[in-house]
Amino acid sequence: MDDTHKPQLLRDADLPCPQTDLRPASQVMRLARMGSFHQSRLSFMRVLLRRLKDHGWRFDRPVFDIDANGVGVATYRARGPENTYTLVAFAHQLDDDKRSDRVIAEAWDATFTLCDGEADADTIRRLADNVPRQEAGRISETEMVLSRANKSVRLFSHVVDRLSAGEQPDRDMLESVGYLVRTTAVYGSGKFGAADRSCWGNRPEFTGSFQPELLAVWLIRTFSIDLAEHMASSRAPQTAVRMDPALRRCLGVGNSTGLGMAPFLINHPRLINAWIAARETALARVRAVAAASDTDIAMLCSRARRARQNAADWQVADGRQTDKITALQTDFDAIVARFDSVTADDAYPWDSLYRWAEDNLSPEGQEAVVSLLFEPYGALIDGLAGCMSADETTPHRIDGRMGCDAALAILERDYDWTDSIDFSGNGPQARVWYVSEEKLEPRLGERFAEDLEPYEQPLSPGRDAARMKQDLQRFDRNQTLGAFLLAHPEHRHMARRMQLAAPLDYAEIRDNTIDAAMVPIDLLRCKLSFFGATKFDPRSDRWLRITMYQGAPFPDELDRCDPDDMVYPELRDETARQ
Amino acid sequence: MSWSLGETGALAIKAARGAGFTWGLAEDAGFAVVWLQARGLPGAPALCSYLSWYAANNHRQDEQTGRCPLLTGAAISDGVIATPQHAQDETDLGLVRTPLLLLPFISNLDGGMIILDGLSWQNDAGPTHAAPAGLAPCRLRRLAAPPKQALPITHSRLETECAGCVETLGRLAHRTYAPATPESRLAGAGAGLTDND
Repeated sequence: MDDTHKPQLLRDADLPCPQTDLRPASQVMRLARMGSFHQSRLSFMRVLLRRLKDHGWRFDRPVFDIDANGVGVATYRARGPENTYTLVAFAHQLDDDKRSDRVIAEAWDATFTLCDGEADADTIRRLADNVPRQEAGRISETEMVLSRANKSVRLFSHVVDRLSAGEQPDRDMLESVGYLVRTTAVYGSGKFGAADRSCWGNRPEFTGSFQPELLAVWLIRTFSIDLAEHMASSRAPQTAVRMDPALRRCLGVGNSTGLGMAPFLINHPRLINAWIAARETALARVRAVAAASDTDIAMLCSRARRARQNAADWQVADGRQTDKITALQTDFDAIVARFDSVTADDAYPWDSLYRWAEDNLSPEGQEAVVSLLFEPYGALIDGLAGCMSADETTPHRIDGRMGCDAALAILERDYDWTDSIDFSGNGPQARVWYVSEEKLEPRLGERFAEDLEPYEQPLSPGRDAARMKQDLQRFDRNQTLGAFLLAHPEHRHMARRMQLAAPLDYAEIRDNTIDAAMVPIDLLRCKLSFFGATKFDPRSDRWLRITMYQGAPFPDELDRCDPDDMVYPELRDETARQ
Repeated sequence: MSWSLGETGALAIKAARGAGFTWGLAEDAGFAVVWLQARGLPGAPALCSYLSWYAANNHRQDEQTGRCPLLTGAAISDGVIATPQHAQDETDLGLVRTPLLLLPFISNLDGGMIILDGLSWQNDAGPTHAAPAGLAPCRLRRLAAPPKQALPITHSRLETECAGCVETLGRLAHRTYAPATPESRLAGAGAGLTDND
């Protein structure tokens, strides 16, 4: 990108909202930075819970037909101002040798669908024939989400044992595992027969991204607690107790995510641009705050401490992530001290604090500061959540009348970062994204070790742009792009992408996605941070576990809780308050 | 049983790629099928018919066997095939195979002023549901005024009668999947680990 091309400002309302310049894509759209993003006010789980609370949604459980062994069906209903949605949950008995989080699994501890409307007996019967089979079954246009989950066997047993004995489960154990069940897939948007996004995308409750999916996950969390409490009371009706609400909130929903999600950011340039542009606009608005009130400063000082505690509790086995966490923990001591030094007399305090972070902290620390800075400024930034979606129903129509010289100029401007990469070498093209026959999901292979090239997916914009640039340089510049594509149909995908991305500042990741050193979990981390996930726990360079909704309120307490505050853990002791 | 248009489009892209088109043209095929089906026209059967022929005939496309509707459509949309400039002017496209697939590309053109002549199953109200397969000599014709009735979006699903089509497209899509090997299984996410924790 040349210096004169600055990201465009985003407007969610007609308010004349001051803001600083946006951070350039060359800084933001790097995998190392995207792989350091944290949840924020704009994360989709927080957007959802704020909206459900603000609009007075009501929740109940019309059906709970589950036996003492934990097998049966339950439904969870969410009723809003205009629409009703129902999670239908099927609980199964699963042998330990069948329990697998991988996408090739064929059976799960529980399976789910989110219905658009009520789920009557006939609907439940139809769904019972399909939902437990997941990808092998079919859902219909009245369903919006298909999902499944496996138990954390160790924690689930502990909770049922304790509750049935009339005791509460061990808090440390609840916090360290973080969930009773973990989802292994949450499909939406037209998958396996579900309703397309275009059928419900204009409903106010689903403004933004992934709202039906995250509503389903939030209700699954309640189901997981209900199931454990039910099994405890079935085992020992005289002694069993329910879970203490404060302990219950220690539990979220786990999620195992692998390479299937990784290409999403590459495949949805319009959507990713919308997400990142909203986040960057929010940062620019907060940096433009001329003076902070004592209340805002106090809130930030408190949340910085609580975020520091979160970082202190974050333990993973993965070496690379452990190094990042260690740097973050060190950063947080400095972050807390820096927030403490801010006063109401300071001019543009958050701009100077952000600049300090850029100069002094690791990428993890810098991005933690970005997320924290949003906290007191809901009035300034929450409206941006409405900008975090994109109409992707119609593919970009190639402007074939564009001149080859103009096409070349765009490639040279937006893909200048590929100039320093020698794609003829083995390292920069070591990887192949492909779909395996067995999993029907994206995978990453070794180009020079396996015969995978014929199956390569178009997930390497950097290399493809470099190749197109090379062929355009050899082509008659006076011709049109249409004529070029007639001679070079292999560049048609890249031509469309290049034109689509040209006006969108943050549509393209500016790193080589097939390099030997590329770390796929950076892609996963970025996407999951926008969801609002916490406790990223990489299990290898290509899959990880996360927790969703840990600390969040449950449906029966949403009206009297502040879901934004509960994302951060309560401080444990006085030493943590220093 | 029915399919969402989103999954239909995704399947069409994979099937076109599996039949031998580049990813870019395959994306155009996905667009064309969804555009047609949303308007109640048999886009999925048309693509199914064309791709089956294309794959069985070693990717032939010439004057004798008929032009490829995807390449021709893309060339029209890209401006490589000049469209008629004045009212009642015509551009002769020659013999086109499965010409229904051209319609979405022509819909991209300015103001809906250009229509496709040559669909033998077309009547005054526009294209009908008749069989989309086969060859037809086609011409683009510029109208003096926009057509009275644009084709409205009326459908959001692909219905059960397309099951055979979905199966055929699925077989072609399958060609884009790499066979699993013991090495790839071991390299997969989460491989070799127990999930009973």
